[in-house]
Amino acid sequence: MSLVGATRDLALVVEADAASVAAFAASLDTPAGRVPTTYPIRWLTRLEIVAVVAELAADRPGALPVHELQTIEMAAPLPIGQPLDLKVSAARTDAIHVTVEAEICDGGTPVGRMHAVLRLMP
Amino acid sequence: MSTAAHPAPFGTTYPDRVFPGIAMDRVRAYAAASGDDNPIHVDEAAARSIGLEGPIVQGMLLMGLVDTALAEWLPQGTTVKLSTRFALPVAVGSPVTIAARVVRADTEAGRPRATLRIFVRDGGGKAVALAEAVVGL
Repeated sequence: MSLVGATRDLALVVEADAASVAAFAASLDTPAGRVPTTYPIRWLTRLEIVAVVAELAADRPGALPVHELQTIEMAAPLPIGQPLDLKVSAARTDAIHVTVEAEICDGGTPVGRMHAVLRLMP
Repeated sequence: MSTAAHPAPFGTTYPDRVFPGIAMDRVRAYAAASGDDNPIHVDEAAARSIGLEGPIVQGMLLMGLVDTALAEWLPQGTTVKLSTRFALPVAVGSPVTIAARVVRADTEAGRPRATLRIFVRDGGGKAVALAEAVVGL
């Protein structure tokens, strides 16, 4: 049975701890003292989100999600070392794509947004 | 209204940022730091199972390198938006070259802002990703 049109929402609590920010920055040769803009994208690899994507792709057994498009937009500097809310909405938009929208909030105040388009391969 | 020159005028280009061969060590380091454990990046058989010739560099690693290049080109800037479309896979081991041009120079709330069109090319010169960044200056 096709899952096209199916959607899932979830809410998570995440944190940008200094050690993981440093490791992420080191893997990208980010200049010292900067937080990589793309750091929050790592939260999209959380098991809960991976499970949602797998659920939305369950009618294509063996298919792996591969990034086709990724956007991140920051409204404020990423707070370090404090809990943040991550609201996620995922959707199976067509036969070969799953989209993931995520909003990062600090105490209700939006900090940033992410949008991913994942292609199911093969 | 300020008459100061925009720090990144329309048409500005930046020196190509070349990342020598993206080795498996870097791919594994990024996988560990990002949590992206998709096997197609590190496992030959997994990559071949979906029709690839071998492991490919994470798209998010390429996007992160674009962000690094932006930070080097515009050290005083803050990237407020970065969007990347991935056109072709990049084999692990391939060098990557990142080039950018300012396509819009304006202000936001009185602060200069630049929009850059960015090309990511592999070792063969093929455009593997196209990015757009908005940087507050």
